[in-house]
Amino acid sequence: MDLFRALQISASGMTAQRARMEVVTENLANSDSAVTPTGRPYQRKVVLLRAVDGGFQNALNSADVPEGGVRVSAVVEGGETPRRIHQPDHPYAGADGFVEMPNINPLREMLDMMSSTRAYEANVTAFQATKSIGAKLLELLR
Amino acid sequence: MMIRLFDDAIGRLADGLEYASRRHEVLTRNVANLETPGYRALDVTFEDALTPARVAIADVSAAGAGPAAPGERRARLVYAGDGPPREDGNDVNLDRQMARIAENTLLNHTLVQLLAQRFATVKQAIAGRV
Repeated sequence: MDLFRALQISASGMTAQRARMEVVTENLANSDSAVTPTGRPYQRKVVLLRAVDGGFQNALNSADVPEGGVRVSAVVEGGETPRRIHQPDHPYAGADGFVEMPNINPLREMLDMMSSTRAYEANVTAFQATKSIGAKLLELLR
Repeated sequence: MMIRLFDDAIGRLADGLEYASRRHEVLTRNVANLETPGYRALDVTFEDALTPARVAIADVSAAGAGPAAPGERRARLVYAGDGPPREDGNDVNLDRQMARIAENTLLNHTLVQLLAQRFATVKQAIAGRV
């Protein structure tokens, strides 16, 4: 039924926006992480979203997201070059006295967070509208 | 005015509800894909839903025959076309989508109200009380 699918689609939107928000908080939390398990400074991460179509492959992959929903297709690294800070006494400083630090722009992260919050709220509103339609339909039984 | 209890008004209202829920699904799709690059906003045209009904009315008045059979019931999916796409190829306009969702919810409530009234009339007639 369309209404239940509408609920699932809104839910997929909320999930995707929450994933974006998680990545933003990860970026902000690691804005000074000079070293990660790879040995390199932390790289800004970006969430890639993808509209779900009704293909066969999709039916196999993500039965939980119906056609028309949205899905996180990948989380990739932004690929910015690290900031270089001159701090010779830092344990991770190179021979030239420079430390490589993550290149995180707090303004951009904040913008991302705002837009994902708003998008999440829009999905919640759509979800509530669907619920209200469903509840109204049930009134027919009274 | 004499009301025929079991005319096809109930069926038409139910058709309307079907369109409303179909459109609602499509509108929630657009909101869910608000940030998906390359996504183009969709809509379901109501014109297609109403056109058969209008044609049916015209037929009745012209030929004086009984109500014509309802036309095709499949809703047509179209691109909403709310303006030029953004830089990432996405053209979902959130304000319009939310307005449409509100409008569609109201339409649904109206149709349900009308259906409920219709059922109440039938019930009253069956009970034989006013």
